Parts: sequence; structure tokens; C-alpha cells
Amino acid sequence: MRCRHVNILLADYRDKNLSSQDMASVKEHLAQCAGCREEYQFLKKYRNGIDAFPVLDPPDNFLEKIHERITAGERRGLIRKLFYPLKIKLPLEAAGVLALTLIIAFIYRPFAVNRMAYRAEETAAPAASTVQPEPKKTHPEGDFDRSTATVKRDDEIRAKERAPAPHVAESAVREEPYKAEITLALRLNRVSINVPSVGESFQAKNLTEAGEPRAASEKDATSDKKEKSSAELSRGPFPAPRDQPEVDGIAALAKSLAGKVVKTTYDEKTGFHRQVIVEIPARNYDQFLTGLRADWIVHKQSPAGPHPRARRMQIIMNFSE
Amino acid sequence: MLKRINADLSYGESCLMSRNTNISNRSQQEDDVLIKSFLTDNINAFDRLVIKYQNLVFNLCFRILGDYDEADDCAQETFIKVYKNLKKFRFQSSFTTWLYRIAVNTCRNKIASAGNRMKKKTMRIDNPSEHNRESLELHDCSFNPDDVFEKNEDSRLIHQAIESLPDHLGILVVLRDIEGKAYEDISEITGVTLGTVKSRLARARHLLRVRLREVF
Repeated sequence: MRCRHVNILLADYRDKNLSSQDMASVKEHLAQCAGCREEYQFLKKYRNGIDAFPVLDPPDNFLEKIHERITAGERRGLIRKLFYPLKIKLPLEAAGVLALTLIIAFIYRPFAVNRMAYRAEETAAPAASTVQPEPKKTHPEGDFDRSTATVKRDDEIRAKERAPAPHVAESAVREEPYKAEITLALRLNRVSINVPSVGESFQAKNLTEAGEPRAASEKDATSDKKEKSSAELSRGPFPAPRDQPEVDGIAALAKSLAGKVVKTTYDEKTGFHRQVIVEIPARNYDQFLTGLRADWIVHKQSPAGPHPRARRMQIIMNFSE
Repeated sequence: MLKRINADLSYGESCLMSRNTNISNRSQQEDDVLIKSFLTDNINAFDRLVIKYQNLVFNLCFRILGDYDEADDCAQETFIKVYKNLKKFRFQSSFTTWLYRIAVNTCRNKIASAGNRMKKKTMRIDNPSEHNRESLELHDCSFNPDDVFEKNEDSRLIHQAIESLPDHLGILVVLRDIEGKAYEDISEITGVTLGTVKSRLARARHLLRVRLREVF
């Protein structure tokens, strides 16, 4: 019998589970082979040591403890399911941390924008006080013959609204990371505008009521434009807005600064525009605002300035009387 | 004459095996009755199952974990899992095998738990280079294992050597050499294929031999 075969039979030899013939063969081999004899001695010691392993008794209150834990587990089942075992707990913790991070990022972001806006307002305020507006630059037609110019520009703007935007604006839109929005509340600046729109009695009344002393002084100066305004109103079944020239001025200003009118909202009841939205490159914002202030009084601006990373801006202008 | 003795021996072995099989079958039938009784809301049936198997489960947990308190905790948890999941038992395997599987998995979870890992880390920091007998003697438990093995020094050394094995090998040695489970049963209990069980056991025994040769 070879050592390899004997090694397989050693455990059964120790337990006397072999046939008498195999027992005799293994015994004979062990008497001759020192290596197998040593292996057998080791196996015998190992098996005897394991057989002598003590059998422990569980604690006396083993069953009671199980009952207690079952009862307690039924009471706090939900908490235990959420936080035990650790395999479940760790992903829950990770999800919690992720959710918290997202919430903080969500809350922090608007505040950050506002802070930047306020800073921009603080830095822009002294500079704005020294710069004088230059209304004539943005209005090449000037204040004279505004009604005829209005018709021309009106057609141009409508045609452009239907037609695709200029290449410059298109490429800017494609490149922009996002747009910033600024809402302006505008009121017509009667001082710098020599040719007011039609419906001056209505406007003068409202301006007077609003405590605007300049409005009354301009009342007589605007009365001679009634005929043109009535001609303008009689162009079609739907009369044009009475403040169309001023809105055209805004459109021309936006156009001169590589921008465009995105949307105009006209109120048929009052005959005036309620809102105009223009889109311009962010870098031209200051020029646009300067040009705008020549004809309009900006009495509300939110936020104070454009977002520093915005390439294009949509400026929403709401008109007040 | 020799042939006759052989025949007598084989007859004796077969009688012994058949008697063991009969006992096992009777025990399994008893388990099935108790489980069915428990499923009809008889809580006493569960208590009888606990009393019947508490020694087996407790000692299995102690041999895997090597800590009396942790073995107590694990054994209790095993029976709590049995209580909760007994309605899912399909009677496809024996209750004992199912119970062993739950106990082994509970011990594995215990070993993998944060507290246990921390304890092992602490041991390694205290003895960074030692994997010998002294490092194995470091235990933070209220029940001293040395007291259990005081009568037999070899048993203590073997117990320590098994504990020093990697967890997946130590469990196999406990199931095979101490609990005397068949390879097929071990495969079913641990969820490892039969071939893997055999190869891992061979590796475990080789490691045990190397470590025990130094102290035997």
C-alpha cells in the first residue's frame, strides 16, 4: 500500500471504520513508514482534541431572552428595519448625505446669485451717477417726425420677428450657457421725449394723478400731435398701440446693441403695451440701460445687474402709467 | 473465520447506520409536527423547538465566534429569525439544515459587523506582527474561553488554530470536523458548491497542520 492511499484511509483507520483487511494493511504500512506514522499521530491528536471539545450550556434564561427580544422587536420593527443590519444602514446613510448635499446646494445657489447682484449694485451705483445718458446715439431718427419713423420701424420689427434672427444673435444663443432675466418697471420719461404718443389726455391725467409735475407742463406741447395719432389709429380695424413709438424706440435700441424683441404684450382695453421682452448680449446691458433711461424712468429693477456668467440676457420691461 | 468476522462487522455497521437514520427520521418528523403546530399559532411548539436545538445552535455559534457573549447573542438572533421566517419554510430540506444555515449566516453577519471589525483591528494594532498564539489569546469578553478548555490543552490549541483561520475556512472546519456534517450538507448550509467546499477544506486543513505543528 502506498503513502498516498494510506493518508486517505488514516481517518477511517483511527475510527476503525475500515475492513479488517484494510486495517491490517494500514497498520503494516504505519509500522514501516515514519512519515505516515507521524501524520497518523498528528491526526490522532487532532481528532482526540476535537472530540474533547466541551459542550457548553446556554444561559439559563435563554428562552426568556428570545421571547423578550421578539416582543421588543415587534414594537420597534420599523426603526430596526431602517438601521439594522449594517448592510442596509450604510446605503441609507450615504443616501442621506447625498440628499443633504443636494438640499444645501439648492438653497445656497439662489443666495449666491443675489449676493453677487447686490455687490454689482453697490459697485455700479457710483459709476452710474457720473455717467450721463446719451439718448441721441441710440435714436438716429431723433425726436422729430416720430410717427412716420414709427410706421417704418414697426414694419421692420414685425418682419424681423417673423424672420430668423441675425447670425450674431443666433450664434450667441447657441453658445450661451444660460440666460439671465432682469425685470424693469418703466414709466415714460416726459422730459426727454418731445413727441409723445397719442392719448395724451389719458396719460397726462394719469401722470398728474401720480404726482408727476412734468406731465402737466408737457400737456400743451403734445396737443398738436393729435392728428397724426388719429391717422395712426385709423390704419386698420385693430388700432395700433398708442405707445407704439416708444416701444419701437426700445426695439431699435435693442437692435443697435445686437439684440432683438422677443415678445410684446399689448392691452387692447387701455391701448398701451403692458410688457416688452428684449434679448441682448449681456455685455451690452449697461449701454442698453443707459439708452433706455433717456426715454424712460426705471423705477424698479430686479435683480440689480446681470449674472456675471450669463452671455445673453432677457430683459422683461413692465410698463406702468 | 475472518470472512465471518468481516461480515459481522459490516452487519454491525449497517445496523448502526440504519439506527442513526431511524433516529434522524424520527427527529425530522417530530420537527415537522412542531413546525406545523407553530404555524397554527401554537407558540409552545416554537418553545419546544428552541429547547431542542438551543445547545446545538449555541455551541455552533461559540465554535465559530469563540466568544461566549457573542455566541449567546447570535444564537438568540438565530431563533428570532426562525420565529419570523418559519412560515417560509417549505419542508424541502430538513429543519436542522435550515437552522444551521440561519445560524451560520447570522455568525457571518456578526463577524462582518462594525464592532467585530473594530475588535480585530484593535488586536492587530496591539500586535501588528504577531499571528501566533499570544495574539490569539487576546479576547475582550466577559467569559474566558481558557476556562472552557482548561481540561484539555490540545483542544484549546485546536480551537485557537481554527479561530485564526480566515472566516470562510474556519466555518467549514467547524461544520466538517467538529459538527461532523457531510460535504453535501455543508454545501447546502453555506451555499458554496461541493467542489469549492472540498478544495477549501483541503486548504484549511493544510493551514491548520502548519499552525498546529508548531505547538503540538
